[in-house]
Amino acid sequence: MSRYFYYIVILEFVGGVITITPSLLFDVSKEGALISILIALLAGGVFIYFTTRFFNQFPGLGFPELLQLHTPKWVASPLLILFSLVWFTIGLKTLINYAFLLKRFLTPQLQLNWIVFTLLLFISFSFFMQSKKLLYTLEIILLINLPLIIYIIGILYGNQGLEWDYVQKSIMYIYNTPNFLAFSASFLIFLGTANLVIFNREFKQKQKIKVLSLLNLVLLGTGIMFTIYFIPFGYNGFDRIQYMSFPWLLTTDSIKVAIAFLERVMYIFLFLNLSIAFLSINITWHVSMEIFKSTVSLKELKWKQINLGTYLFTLLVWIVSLLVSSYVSESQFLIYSSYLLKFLPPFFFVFLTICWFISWRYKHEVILKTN
Amino acid sequence: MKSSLKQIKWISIFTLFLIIIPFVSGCGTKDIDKRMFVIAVGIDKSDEDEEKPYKITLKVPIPTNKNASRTPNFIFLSEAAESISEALHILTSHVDKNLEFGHTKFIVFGENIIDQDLRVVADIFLRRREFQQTAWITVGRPSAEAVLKASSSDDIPDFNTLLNRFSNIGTESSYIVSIFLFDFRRQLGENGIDPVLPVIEINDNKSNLIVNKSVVISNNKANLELSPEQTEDYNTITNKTKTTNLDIQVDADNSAFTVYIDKVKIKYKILTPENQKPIIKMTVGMIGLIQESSHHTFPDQLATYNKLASEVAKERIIHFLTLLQKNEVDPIGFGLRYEATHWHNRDLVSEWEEIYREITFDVSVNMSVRSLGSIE
Repeated sequence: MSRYFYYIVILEFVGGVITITPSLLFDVSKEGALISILIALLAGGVFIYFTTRFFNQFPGLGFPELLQLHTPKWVASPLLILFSLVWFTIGLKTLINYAFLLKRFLTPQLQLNWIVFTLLLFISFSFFMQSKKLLYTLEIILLINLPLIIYIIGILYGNQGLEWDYVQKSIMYIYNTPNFLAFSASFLIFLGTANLVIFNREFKQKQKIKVLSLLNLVLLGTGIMFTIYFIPFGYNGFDRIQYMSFPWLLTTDSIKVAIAFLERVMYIFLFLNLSIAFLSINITWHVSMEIFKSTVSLKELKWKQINLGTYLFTLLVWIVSLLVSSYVSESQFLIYSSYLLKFLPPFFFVFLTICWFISWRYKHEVILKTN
Repeated sequence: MKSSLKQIKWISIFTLFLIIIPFVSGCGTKDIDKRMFVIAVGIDKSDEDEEKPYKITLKVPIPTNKNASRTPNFIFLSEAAESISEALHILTSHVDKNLEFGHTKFIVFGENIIDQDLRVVADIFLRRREFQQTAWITVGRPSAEAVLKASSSDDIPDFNTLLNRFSNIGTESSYIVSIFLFDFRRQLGENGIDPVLPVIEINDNKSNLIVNKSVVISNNKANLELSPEQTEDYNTITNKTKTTNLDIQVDADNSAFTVYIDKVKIKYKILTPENQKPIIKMTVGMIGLIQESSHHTFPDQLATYNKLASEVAKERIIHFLTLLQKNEVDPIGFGLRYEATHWHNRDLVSEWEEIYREITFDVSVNMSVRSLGSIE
């Protein structure tokens, strides 16, 4: 596969730390979070395999084109709108989540909708970028941040404050029935692959994912998932971790580097997350917008040869984000996002079924033609 | 057509900047000269007023030119109130600058407040984001206020006398327990481990601070105070220190010598064999050298010295562990280790409590005295 594919996938892996995934997992850490994580890792590997195999059949084609090619219009358009909506909500969730984080730890005096406003100013630029340019941005920012990520993970593992007894205690809870919400929360980190629905347009050469690289991805996902889940136990203890609102921030605040430009590692971590969250929102909303624009009725919406879809989408994003940010409270946000998370695995199962249908139709048509 | 599109683009970017500019005026933040950095917070139980149980003392350095004045360059702010946050809030009206807690390095609990539920007292430090999780937690005797106000008589900037002790930058003493806020928090909330806090005392003429005792905080039982020697044992067993002194008396010829241990490695296992008493098997590896002796020492006698020293060490450790067991406190974390090595079930905690009451300690010390020092 092209290296940009790996960037998209790894971005979501790394972004898993700032989402609500950790706190949802810790909520059920005594009721089978661990076994759900293991199932999610398996499911994630399968998901990556099938998604990439499907899109590799159609180099240079996005999901909207394929859907419109193989299904009638009245099926394709509502489905595409639904897809666009799902991606939009995922992006919105990341945005609000990060805005809450910023309000709590960096700018406590600022109102939530002002934080969202400032973030949106910069995110809006990405709507007017081509997919290819967005991938370049992704590469640059990710490569700049990678050393910092490795540095922070390194000192987290190497620090004396890490007590493995607490981690071991959490493993002792593995014999529990898996929990669906925990499964969905950990499955979230594998959804980066699904961004291929749009970015496959940029992969114009014939691609092929090797078994080894797939295994490497799953292995990396496992490592990151275990870091996300286990390291906070080592720093915050096991018994009371579910009462923490931001367990990962308290974890990074528990270490200090005496001889560094910032003693409190938490602030490096926050700024690191700022760029990761920014990229993640950009990518998901870009996908959402491209799907939105590809619905048939919007293709004709033009003024002086400029497609107005982008402007319309930008306007919608601004209105919805500002509205949501001024009304939602932290606990409401948690409830709504857990609804969203529970919805995602079935949704992506349906997505895979549609993919299977399309590739079945494709093969069928090829056979018809040759006859 | 193309050029007009470009024009639109530039004009829109220009308007966007016009919109942004008012928001980036830059003077919204307070400059550093409008801030006061609190370096230590002391919490005492106030005995004057029933309705105001907390007495808060803040230690704030004020930047002064040292050559110009010899006056102490700290101010102390005190206030009693119903809650800690209220006291902090009132204290903002005592000063002309903004109080910043981002650099608070010490949280000192007064001796009279540690009998209360510390989970309630310490709540604010866990909840408010400003407090660093790497602040040191200490106990002040006779009170937090007295400890913070004690200033050293010599030329050392007196805040450093505290910082150097706990950060291992200055003194590296095996008598000092240093515990961070995050460590304190996790041990306080966890079943099967109790936090240990260092006790800061003031000497008689109030010119110096002494830290060599500590206290085990227990949630539902009485706190247990540890003597300097027991504190040293605690540090040794939890692998928090590498160096200790062992004083050895040899009864036979009335000689005595001291072994300086510079490397300690301790491992333990909890064994619960069926139909037998549960047992904690602890292996202690120590490497050291003789640093003082009342008699002539012989290089070929090293094996004897090893044996004598390991017996003393073994006795000390067993004595310390039984003391903890008798008082039903568990600062080492045996309970945690038990829970970490047994599949979880509902009765595990109560099961452990029963086991801990009747557990026996089997300590084997692997002493190796490597040297007699510079003279024989």
